[in-house]
Amino acid sequence: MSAKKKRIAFFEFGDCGGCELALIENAKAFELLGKVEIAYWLLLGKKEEGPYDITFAEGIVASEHDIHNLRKIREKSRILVALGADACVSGIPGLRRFANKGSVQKVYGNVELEQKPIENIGPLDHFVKVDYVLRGCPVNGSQASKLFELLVEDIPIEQGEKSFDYVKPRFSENNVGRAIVLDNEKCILCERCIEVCNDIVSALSIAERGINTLITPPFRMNMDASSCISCGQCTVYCPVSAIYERDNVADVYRILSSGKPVDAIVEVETAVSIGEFFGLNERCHGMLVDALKRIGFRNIYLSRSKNRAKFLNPKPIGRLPAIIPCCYSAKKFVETFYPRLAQALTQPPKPSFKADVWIGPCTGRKIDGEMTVLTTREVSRMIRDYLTIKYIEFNELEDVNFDDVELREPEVGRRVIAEGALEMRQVLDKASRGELQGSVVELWACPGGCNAGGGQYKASEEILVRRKEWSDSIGSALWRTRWWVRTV
Amino acid sequence: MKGIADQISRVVGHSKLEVDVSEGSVRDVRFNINEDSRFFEAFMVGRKYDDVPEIVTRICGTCNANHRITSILALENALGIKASEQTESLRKLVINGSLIQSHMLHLYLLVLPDYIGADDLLSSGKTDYLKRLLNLKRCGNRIVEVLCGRPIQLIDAVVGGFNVIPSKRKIEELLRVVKETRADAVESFHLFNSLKLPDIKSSEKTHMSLKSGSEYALTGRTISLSGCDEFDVEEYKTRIEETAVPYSTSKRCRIDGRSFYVGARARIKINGKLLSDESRSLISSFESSLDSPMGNIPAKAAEVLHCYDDSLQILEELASKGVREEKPKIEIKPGEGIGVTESTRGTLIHHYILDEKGFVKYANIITPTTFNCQHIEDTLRCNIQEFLGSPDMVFQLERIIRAYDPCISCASHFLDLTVKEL
Repeated sequence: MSAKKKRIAFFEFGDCGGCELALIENAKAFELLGKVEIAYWLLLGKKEEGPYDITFAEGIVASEHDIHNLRKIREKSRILVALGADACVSGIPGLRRFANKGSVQKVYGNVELEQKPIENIGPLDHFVKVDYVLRGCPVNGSQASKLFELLVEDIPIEQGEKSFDYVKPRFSENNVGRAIVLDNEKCILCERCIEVCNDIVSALSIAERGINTLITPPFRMNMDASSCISCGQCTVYCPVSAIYERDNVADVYRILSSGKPVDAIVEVETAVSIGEFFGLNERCHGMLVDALKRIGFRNIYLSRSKNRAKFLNPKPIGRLPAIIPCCYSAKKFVETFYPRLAQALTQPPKPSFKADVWIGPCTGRKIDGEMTVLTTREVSRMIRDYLTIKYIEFNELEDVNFDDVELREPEVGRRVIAEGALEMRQVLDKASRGELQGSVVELWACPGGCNAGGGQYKASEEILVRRKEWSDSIGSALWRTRWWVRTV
Repeated sequence: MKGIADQISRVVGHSKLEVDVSEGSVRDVRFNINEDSRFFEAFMVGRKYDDVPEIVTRICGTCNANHRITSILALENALGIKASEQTESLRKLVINGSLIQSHMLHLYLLVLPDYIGADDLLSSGKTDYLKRLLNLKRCGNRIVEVLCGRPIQLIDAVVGGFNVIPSKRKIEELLRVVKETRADAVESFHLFNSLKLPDIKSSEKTHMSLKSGSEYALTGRTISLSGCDEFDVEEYKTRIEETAVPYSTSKRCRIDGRSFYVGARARIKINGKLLSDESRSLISSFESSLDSPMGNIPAKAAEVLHCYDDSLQILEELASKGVREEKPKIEIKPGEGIGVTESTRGTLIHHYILDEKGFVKYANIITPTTFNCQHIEDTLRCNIQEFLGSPDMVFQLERIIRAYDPCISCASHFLDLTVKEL
């Protein structure tokens, strides 16, 4: 190799130190260490300042001090390799997130620690950009030394080493919108999302050729900047979850751990479809409430946007109808494609309850930053993870009542209702021609309404019919149990 | 305020040393472990008993074998399972293997550079030392790998015994490896016994280790204090006072109000007569240094030799008697159990309470570094005045701390030295 030796650094955050040993104990890696300049490795007694060419780091980031150090390390290193399960996915030490609230007290008694543990612990790429990840607990020594060799000898990994399964070079960043995230690393280019979106807003298309082909909004725009209305239909049809809703489960846990009481609003469409994920062919809304209460929510309210929309009674202006966008996606649809009708828009109907978390069938609501939004898929994942850790089966949960219900539908005059982009276009075209003068229009972005929302699981015709039936009848079911149904 | 900030290297973990100085004399010394709190004891509560060995293995990368075996002993104690003789000797073999690789890693990689005037062994150019270290480590790792499937984060040792029993061919392979590398262990002892160790005063002479009548105890149920006072492990809670201090994430331990030490030198002092023949004959050459923390270095090297002889004996027995497959029946019932082993750094205690479904209701783990922490601080306190202001102060203090081989990731990684002028 040419003139200059590579400068290597090895940092350890909170973990057992096993990956460090796995690397040292490998004879080939040991040999390679002789060929490089070790700049920082506490175990070997080196502590020089950066910059470093190749930096290995292991362990989870668990304190403010660690976050500060990691950011400094990232700035100084050309290549950062996350070594081992802890650094890649937070591993066993990360389990402490699931420890009970009183754990500090349980372990240390009443002594006030100077170094306070933080809530927001996580793997390295939670805080900085990581170039290579090597998984395993501990890492496989020969794989680690192989990667080490490739990095030291400057051999391009994408071309030279086909059998290198465990190294995943990140050639592109995720396209992260407020509601939808597109991960081209996972994408298998089946184009289902493009087909779905062509019927809605045509926000996605194919770019580049050959092995560089990728799915992206036009001009590789950000999801939010494109014509995407965040309806989430693409996320329902993606077979590999390469395009998915932005996961807010961690945010919800953060709110829950803040100590304040947390209330949640559950939409009817989520309450009736939650059992599908757990393999139950019955209505499980009571069990959903029980699970949420166990996770740590205080009050759980039931509400339905379809009913809420009826309470809005806007006055039509001039020759335009009054337009109620029943979800945020519909609002963005009108603003993007029919800007001249924007003056006739009202605000999307809001629930009358005050809550911090909204649990519903919709990805579009994530655009509105008012409440933290969990879709049906996110909440079922959250419940599943919680129950697995606590060794509880879903059908062992009890049937618990909602704390408050908002379901009454007032008598309103005839309204023009449009569900899905196709119908919305027809109605809005009519409206711009002035044919709907004096009427009130309700817009729903998802074809088939909220039961087939972008945050729901993909469902057959049969299940969709059942969801509709159940969500229409849930009000009377709750009447029968003599629950107080709130009048707004 | 005057401060020198440095990080203590060549120890496993992050730690910090703070010294308060007023008018040229030392007022206070604080040995801070500032590894993040890890809460293993808290998040294990509510998990099933068979998850426990998998989790505790990840407490430490160097002595994970000990953590695993100790938790298994504690759980077997709680469930009332009696391990077979074969399982017991296989477990002894795993601990021997773990001691060999861990002692050698510490002595060659972390301690030796201080005495040969090098920053680290890799760049020192001493290829014969490196070769020897790799040979010894390969032997220790191979023993653990054959019995438990992996050298680090082992998998095959479980409650009740072993998932896989080594074949006769594998036992013979181990015998060959142990015989081949034994000469390296003897040479290492002579190397570490010939080091010029500094004269370090030690404040407290109390030490603690497991004791057994018939063998050099690495597992057992009786704890001996300085060789005169003995108590059963069940009494550890009443005998050992565990307290938390605000400046450190590791708890502190005292017995009868005094600090004490654990580790290879405590074991040699208490059980030295039961070492293998060759290692026993070597004790006299370093016995006088055992009272100083530096005595830990030759003691560790002698212990490695014992582990070689003991492993050889067990392996020969297994090779002649043959190993057989066994599947113990596990009945889940509520209970409380304590397991103790001697790990590289000293006595390791695991304590669990299980409920009727086999879920963990309470967990307590005391690691050797937790025991040693207070003793390290006390030893530094009585030696620091001598080094105060000298240019190699950091080097000298680090050398003392390294002799204890503190494993900070276990106890709750750099040493920051701060001198505060009051």
